[in-house]
Amino acid sequence: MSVLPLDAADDASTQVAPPSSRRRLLPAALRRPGPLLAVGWLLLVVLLSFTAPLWRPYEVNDQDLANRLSLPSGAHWLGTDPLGRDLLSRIFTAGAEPLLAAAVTVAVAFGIGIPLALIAAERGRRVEQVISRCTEMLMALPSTIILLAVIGVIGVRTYVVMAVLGVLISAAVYRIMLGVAQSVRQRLYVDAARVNGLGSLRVNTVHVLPAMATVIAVQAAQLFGIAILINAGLAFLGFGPAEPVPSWGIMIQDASGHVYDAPWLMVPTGVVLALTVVAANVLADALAGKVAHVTAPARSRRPAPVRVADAAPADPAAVLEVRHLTVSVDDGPQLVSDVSFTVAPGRVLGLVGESGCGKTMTARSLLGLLPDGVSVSGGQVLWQGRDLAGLTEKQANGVRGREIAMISQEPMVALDPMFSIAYQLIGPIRRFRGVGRFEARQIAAQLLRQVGIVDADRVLKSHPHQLSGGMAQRVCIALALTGEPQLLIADEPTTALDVTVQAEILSLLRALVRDTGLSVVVVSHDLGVVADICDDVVVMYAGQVVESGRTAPVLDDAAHPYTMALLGANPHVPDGAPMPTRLASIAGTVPAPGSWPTGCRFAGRCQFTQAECTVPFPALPAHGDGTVLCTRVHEVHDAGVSWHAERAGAELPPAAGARHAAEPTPTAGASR
Amino acid sequence: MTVAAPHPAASGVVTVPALEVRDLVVRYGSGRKARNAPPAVDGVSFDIAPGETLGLVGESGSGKSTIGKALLGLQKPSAGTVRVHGQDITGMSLKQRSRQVADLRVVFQDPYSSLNPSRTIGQTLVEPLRLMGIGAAEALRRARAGVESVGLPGDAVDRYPGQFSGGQRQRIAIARALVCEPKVVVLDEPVSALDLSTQAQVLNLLADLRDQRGLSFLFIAHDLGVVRFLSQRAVVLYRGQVMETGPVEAVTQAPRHPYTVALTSAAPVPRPAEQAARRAAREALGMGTAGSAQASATGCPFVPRCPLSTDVCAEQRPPLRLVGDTPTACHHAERVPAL
Repeated sequence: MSVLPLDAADDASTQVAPPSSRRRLLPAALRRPGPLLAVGWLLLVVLLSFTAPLWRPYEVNDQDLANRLSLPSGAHWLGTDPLGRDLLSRIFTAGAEPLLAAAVTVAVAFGIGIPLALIAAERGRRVEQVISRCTEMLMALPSTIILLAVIGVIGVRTYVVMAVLGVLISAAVYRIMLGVAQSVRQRLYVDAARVNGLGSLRVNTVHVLPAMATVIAVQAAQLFGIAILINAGLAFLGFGPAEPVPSWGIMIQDASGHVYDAPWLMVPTGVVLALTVVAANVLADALAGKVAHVTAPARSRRPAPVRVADAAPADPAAVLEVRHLTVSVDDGPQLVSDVSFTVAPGRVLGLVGESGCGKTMTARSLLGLLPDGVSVSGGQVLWQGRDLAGLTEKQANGVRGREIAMISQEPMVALDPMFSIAYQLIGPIRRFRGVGRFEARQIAAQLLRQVGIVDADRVLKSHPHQLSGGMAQRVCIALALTGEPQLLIADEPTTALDVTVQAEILSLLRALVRDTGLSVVVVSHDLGVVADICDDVVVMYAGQVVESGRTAPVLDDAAHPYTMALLGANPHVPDGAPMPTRLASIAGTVPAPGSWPTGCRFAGRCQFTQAECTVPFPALPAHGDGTVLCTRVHEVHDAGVSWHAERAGAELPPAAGARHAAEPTPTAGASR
Repeated sequence: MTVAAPHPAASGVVTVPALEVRDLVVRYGSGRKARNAPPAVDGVSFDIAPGETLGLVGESGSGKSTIGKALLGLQKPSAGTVRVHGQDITGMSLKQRSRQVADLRVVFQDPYSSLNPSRTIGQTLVEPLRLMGIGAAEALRRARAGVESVGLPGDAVDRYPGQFSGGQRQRIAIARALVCEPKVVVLDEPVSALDLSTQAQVLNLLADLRDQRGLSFLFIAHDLGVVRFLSQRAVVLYRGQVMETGPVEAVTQAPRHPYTVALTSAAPVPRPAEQAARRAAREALGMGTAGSAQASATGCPFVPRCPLSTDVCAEQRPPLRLVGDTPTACHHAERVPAL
């Protein structure tokens, strides 16, 4: 499993995955020593317990009176009890009942809890409320007393008693499963199956239950361990098999009477019981941690590699200067290669490209906010004379928020739903500006007015869920302004918003730049947003800068084929111009990090590719002080061609009869 | 509020619409509180002719996705009728629908949650075919042809959704919708979650399929640009009500409702000089955004944001009336071109 973060892992690395890597003998969660030992132990106990009559060295009631309370010996591997009976034989003969009884409890609890949860999740609020009220009553009952009462009525019938325990626990199982089932039912593939006319039973068994399997396994393993303990506890109290039939509870009770004169007696039974319960819990933990363990190798913030001191002095006209920045997965492929750009005071720079092109990684490395397992492996991020790429976590914290702030794509996720807006603003204001609570509140209101919120006092009192998306993004911008930063990094700030709201947020950002001299780096995939707000633009493809310069010349007279293609894919044609019948598009997807070709990384998808494109070449100057990374740029420009739309039907094989015809376009290596 | 008469087909003969929606009302929740709240969809009517694509545009909260759900039977309509090829399916359960009208299918917005990660593409595509009583071998053959028809290799049927990118998954979702050869497909923001270049690929694919198979699409989107690309006609929704409807060129190029003007002027174009001019025009217009104030229950829902609103707008809900070519719900539609 790769640790490629965010967009890189999401989109780009999917086309090369081998088709058969899914089904292994053991799920990944169990292929570590702890869980493996736990599974091994459980299997061993089950096997030995159920086959005990076949292999046990002594019958359970054979008394060896000469060897009472003996320690382990050749004749009695685990020693003997006060009547000289063999412990090994008795422990495993006794094991079958608690294992089976615990299984009964688990089966009954889940057999009731899961169907109820599925029904409640499917039938909606009213049914759910009725079932939930009933389970609440069940949960309010004192289960120990009920168990004892049941035993009083029907006598010591272990399996029935454990089944009753299962009924009592089913209420708790239902509560957990209901939440899971409800969230699974919100997935669109469930809706799609319902639209297809799949019956309720099949929707649940085919689509809902498999998605709940991990949670079910975790809960079942845990409950199994608990049930074994309860079963042993009941036997200990005398509500189990009567002497001379062996049981773990009685054997522990026996041993507790000999703690001083024969302490060993406690060890074999105690260890078997404890190990079995612990093994069940380890298994549950392993299943629960399945996701976390796959993706999280320990955070290793590698010491920044030794850099060759760059002789060139920092550009005096820039607030931020990025030089030859390279970001890599630790011991893995590069995600961003040799990216350079500068941000001048009071200017807005756009980083633009498809998902998987490294624009988010570039933006995050400016703040030292790279995900685990990813780090800056070369180049510099010069901020006011310091190299941010070489800062420690503590030093970076001094810069974040105070000098460089960030707003993200999902304003609702960036705000904590538990706290009021006032609380979330006042904390950073007090920390960054060293003012008292009252003054901080006044500053908070002032910041909200600055981001265009008219009724600041009402918004201060509200919680995030009471705000619309546009309002929440305004609050996030206010939050970013609390430390009076000089640079704001905006990662897709308007992608999640309606166009009308997007227009207002962009106007707000522009007003902030104009009024405060703030510099902004905007990450976006929308060239319309770039045209609206950016002074300079950096077009990225597969981790490289392919074209850069002032926004107007780059967008009005794009030199790189990739920029041309992005412009052609935009359906917003000029006013009065006719809508094309097909849009320009780029076949295939961005190649995954690690499989970037030598030479031009865009060659596999470019309409103008020739042999010369497969050897490396340097970036050329373009658009005044910008660059373009295309070896054929002049030829393409002189020929006056532009990226053309795929001819109608090129997406599809020509006719129904000729479905298996070869791919119509000659784009090398690019799968669609 | 009745809008379009049955749409004349190319031959000039009046045909039964592929999809006919009349006075659709959807309220969420139950009880007195829900009855007093404004409905999510408030008396919406439209037709889609065979082979026609109708764009349904609006901001979030305009009720456009709710209309899609109500058509598909995922949300029970409170009033109104939905007909597919003249057959009333309004009150039918999902199971009845699958037996009697197998020709209404859906493509959802989110390509990540719309495919079951634990089933192969083949299993996902075969499922609806098997429900239609098609044999296993034939169903698999059709599934394979289905993924090939959306530009993916046939062996994709043996793979899991996790092995495909967002754009490829959306193609698979389209293949799933089309594998039953439906007449009408609800496209619920099928390209909103995609990158621009991938969006263009998927839009081209949809245009190809529409032209080759004569499909009718209900294309739900928030971007007037993509609606103009794919649709012949458009319906502009605001707070569950139709503001304007008509040929897509008229609606997007010469809007007659102030809200449509707000939508068109807000969409950014990738040409800096033109965008600067559009921005200046939009800022001069001074239209606010949703949520700034409550509209009155009796008047036009757009009043709090409208630069043209007068007393009559707050008191009387404007009916849809023909302004030029486009039915428009605005008392002052004649003044809109001057904006």
